Amino acid sequence: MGETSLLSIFITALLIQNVALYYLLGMCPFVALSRSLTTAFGMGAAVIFVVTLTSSANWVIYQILEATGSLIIQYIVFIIVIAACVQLVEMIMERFFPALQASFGIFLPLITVNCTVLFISLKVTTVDNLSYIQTVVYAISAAIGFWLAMVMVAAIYEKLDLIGKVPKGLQGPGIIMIITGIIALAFMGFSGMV
Amino acid sequence: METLIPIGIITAILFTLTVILLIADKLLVSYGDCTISVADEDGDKEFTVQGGSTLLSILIDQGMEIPASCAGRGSCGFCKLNVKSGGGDILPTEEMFISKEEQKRGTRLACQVKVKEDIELFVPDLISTVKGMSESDSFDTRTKWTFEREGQMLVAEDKKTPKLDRTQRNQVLDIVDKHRDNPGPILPILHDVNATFNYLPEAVLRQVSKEMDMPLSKIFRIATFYNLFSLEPVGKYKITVCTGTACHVRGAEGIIEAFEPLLGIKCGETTEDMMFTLEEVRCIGCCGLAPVLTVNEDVQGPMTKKKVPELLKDIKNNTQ
Repeated sequence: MGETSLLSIFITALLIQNVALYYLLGMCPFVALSRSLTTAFGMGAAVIFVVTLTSSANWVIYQILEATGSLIIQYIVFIIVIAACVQLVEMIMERFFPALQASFGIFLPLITVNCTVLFISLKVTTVDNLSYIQTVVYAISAAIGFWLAMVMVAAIYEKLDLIGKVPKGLQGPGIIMIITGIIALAFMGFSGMV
Repeated sequence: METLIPIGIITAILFTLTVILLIADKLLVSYGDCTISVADEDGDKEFTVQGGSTLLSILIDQGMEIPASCAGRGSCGFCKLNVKSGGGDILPTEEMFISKEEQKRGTRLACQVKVKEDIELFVPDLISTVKGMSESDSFDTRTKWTFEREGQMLVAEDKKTPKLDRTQRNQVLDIVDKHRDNPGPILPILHDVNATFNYLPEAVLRQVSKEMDMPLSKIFRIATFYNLFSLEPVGKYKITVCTGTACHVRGAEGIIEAFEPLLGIKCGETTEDMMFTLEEVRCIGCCGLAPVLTVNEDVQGPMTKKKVPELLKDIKNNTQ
């Protein structure tokens, strides 16, 4: 992907290969927190922050690992960095947005094991071999893609909830899965763009 | 040598991250010293603590008995207290346990309040809390707890604990002395109290708590766990109908329905002359005799609807 322009990376990561809708990654917090626009918004923002931070840190670490020939510890190191970043986010949120943090509950620490985060770190290094600038752009746009998908699903869910015609058996996760599927189908339309 | 490089790298990264986190912790999380002033039964208290943890854990560290069966996860709703100043805004996690009225009064869940500043609070007494719960309309003694209450819940009640007279006090003293040195004394004490007073009066529990130097909440916990004990006065004859699986299948509901018109009370109530209390219980372990019931400690079974009037007549004859 060496010569790809930043704009095409941005569009690819945001729309065409959206992590949530194309790769279907990070579904656990996605389904759990898409029930209200506020939490979806906050969770998406937290993911953006964590992904950008970890991917750019992990890119540097990857170069060091590659140079020293110790790629064997790549996964462990990536996860450690992610865990530390999540801790940092949690501290920041606790200090400045306690209400938001309380409504996240267990899902904030769970960003650590949100596969989106590790996926992006691995993709920019091992799979695509991007340069540093490209990495940052890719990470931000992929995370914004996740945020976008979450906010869209949450908005639709809130509307549906307002009408109140969701069948009983489908309320909650069920209808969110269906909404996600339909939006994913719609996103397939972007596939010819780049 | 080749294995040493990865180890060295991991160590270096861990070290760097730890330092970063420690610095962030110092800058972001520490809130300095906070003064917490508590008003409760035993007068006012004040202590200074390091901020940053929850109010519940701080109060428990200070040796206060705050009921929290969910261990501070915000799911049981028992650790209510009134925050007079400090503590920030009410969180979404608390809203389902705290009514609008209580919000105005400043009621919070202790496990959700982060101590970041000086806090002034009032801790209500457990017994009056539970009493308030049972008096509010949505509370039904047969279905255990419900959490939707708009009633007067945590208002500090007037101290009108009924006093015991001298003989009663001596009776309680005798009971406590009898069991004091045995291991696990509280259950036998409650048994004897129940045998003497026929129920567990609040005043007696308070005295037991004082004599045994044991928190009232602990005694309350034991007293409410067993079906045998009641905090309300019960009739001289306590009719307990088993509605366990076997008895249910063989018509326990019908037995209860047969009693109700004859005694003129509903299940769970006591007749006005304090003679009979009608109760149901899940199982008394006599499934072979289903449907079965007990009158005080006397087991009767198998019962039929026809035997019900006879049984009541027998009991009444015995009394005279």
